[in-house]
Amino acid sequence: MNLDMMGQACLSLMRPDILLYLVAGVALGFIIGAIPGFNDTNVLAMLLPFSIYFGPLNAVVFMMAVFGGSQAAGPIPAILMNMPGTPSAAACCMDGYALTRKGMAKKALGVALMGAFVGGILGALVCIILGPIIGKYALTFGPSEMFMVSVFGLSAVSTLTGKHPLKGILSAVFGLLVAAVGTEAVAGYQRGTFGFFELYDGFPLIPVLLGLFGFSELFDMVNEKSIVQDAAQAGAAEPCTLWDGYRECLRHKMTLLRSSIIGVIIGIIPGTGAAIGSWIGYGQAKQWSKHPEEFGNGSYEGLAAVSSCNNGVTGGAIIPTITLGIPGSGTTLVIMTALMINNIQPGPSMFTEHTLDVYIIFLSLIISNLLILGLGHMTFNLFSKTTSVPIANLVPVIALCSLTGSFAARGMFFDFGLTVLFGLFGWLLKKYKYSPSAFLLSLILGTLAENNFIWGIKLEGWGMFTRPICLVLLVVTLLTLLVPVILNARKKN
Amino acid sequence: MKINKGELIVPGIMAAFLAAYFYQVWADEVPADVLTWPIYVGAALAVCLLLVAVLYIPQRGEAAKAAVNVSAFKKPVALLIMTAVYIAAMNWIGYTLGSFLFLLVVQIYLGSGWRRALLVALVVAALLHVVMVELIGLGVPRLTTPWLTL
Repeated sequence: MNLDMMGQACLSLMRPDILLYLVAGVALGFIIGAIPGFNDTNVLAMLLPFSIYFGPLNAVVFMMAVFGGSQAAGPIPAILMNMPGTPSAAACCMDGYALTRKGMAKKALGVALMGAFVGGILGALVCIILGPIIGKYALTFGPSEMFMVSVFGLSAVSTLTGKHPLKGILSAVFGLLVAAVGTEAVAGYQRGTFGFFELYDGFPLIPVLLGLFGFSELFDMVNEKSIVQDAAQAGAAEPCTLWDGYRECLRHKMTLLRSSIIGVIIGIIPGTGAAIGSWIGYGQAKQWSKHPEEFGNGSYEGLAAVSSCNNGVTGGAIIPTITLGIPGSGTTLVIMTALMINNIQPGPSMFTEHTLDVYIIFLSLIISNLLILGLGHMTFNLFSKTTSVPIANLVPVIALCSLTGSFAARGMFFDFGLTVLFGLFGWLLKKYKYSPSAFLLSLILGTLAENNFIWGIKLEGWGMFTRPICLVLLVVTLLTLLVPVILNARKKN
Repeated sequence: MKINKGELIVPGIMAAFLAAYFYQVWADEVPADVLTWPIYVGAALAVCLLLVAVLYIPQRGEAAKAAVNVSAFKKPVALLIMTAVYIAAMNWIGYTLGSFLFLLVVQIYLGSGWRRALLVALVVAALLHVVMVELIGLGVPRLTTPWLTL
């Protein structure tokens, strides 16, 4: 870490043009994240040609701010309407929406915002201090290790099964089968597409997500008068504020730290992303929580875990992008492209040829997270007012937003039908006590697990499980599954 | 033995999908080595379905005999039908007009006053048109008439 360069980078960050790009990026990120179906990757790809006019540094700083802002704002519709704004915010639906039903929407939004801030800052600090060192280890993750990462992620299913573990496991296994629809990665055969070319790439995540969480909720909401149902039951008659949420979030320091680190690690590993990280963070938080029974019913700790993990990913994802020239996620791929368009080659040489620029990018993460907290505090209050809108007016608006969001993802009419179909399926899963969350987690991880399993077996046979990192991940998975169970059993005795 | 009919629905959907999936790959003569992973998953799914069938489908206890509240399904089914009509009609009347009518009809059906419903429908449909169609250029179906394109 070059302190002299860091000092120069701090001074450079105070330039009005860079600050302007940071503010604009966070604001755009908020808009993208709060609107379901809009993907920061797609929007940034549209802005890519303009990066030549921005200049390389301004473009990267702007795009990173958009990335962070969209992750921070994704929980807004998830908390208020059970409709995740970004795939990574799906894990916020369970506890965030439950809190809204109890009349605690503002507090929940406050928890999410503070969690995003803490996760983002911790991710930025890891980036600055350990970035070049950690980046090297991202290269050691081959198919075997990636398969074990997906197994570790799938172990979170055990925390999502609720009171009917068998139904939860069935939901997860079914999710793995649905994930196996599409063009097979090695030989290119179509599996389970039933003649629909729209399924050649498998079931698209955004329409499925909007259906399972957003649209499915409407079938229950139509029989209610208001979103807030359980305020009297929860004794939450007093008005709450964002500040209550900030204080509540900061009470769970260990959860914030653990989830942020998980987010950073997931972000560093190429090909994973916040959608996977958020579920792993949530599962781990529940495993280690002193009150796991609250998860899924309005747990502030669960909400804090997800939001800190999501924004931890933003810091982690930039590390392999800058240090190795390997993008950590779809968004960082666009960022990498912006650098290359401007004749800057990401990779180890960037530290020697563009040292100041690298430090400016890393330090801008801290500024953008401060802006996320500030702008978020000003705007999140407005969003919470949607809970007072009558159901008769809210339901069709949510339905329309879900359908439009699902179309916006790929521009295919087919996706309207998918959203409605999965909406109905999600409603049935909830009604008969299955687990839509476990199904979704398996759907997200299934392709990663299958492709890496097949490649791992082809390259190394069953010996793939004896690789050092695989063994470590296997031990960590078993520990995280068994240790909380053992500790709980000892407590009862 | 009495059957808990409601508990048949979700396992039934999963079993139907499992059968349809493997029927399609068999009909398309997909080689077995390409199906390694789906076979493992399919086998695990079959085992889980069997266990759920044994544990949940036979009616047990007083709770299983509770009557189904049919009237609670009326509005959800109506919403489903109205959504299907909206999607189907979009190709003829366009996204903006279709969205306006969908918003208006659903709000009134759910009990909103017609003035508020009209205002909300106008504002939301206009906002969606401006943002999605004009600004972002989303390729939604549009209503084309000799006088205007909506």
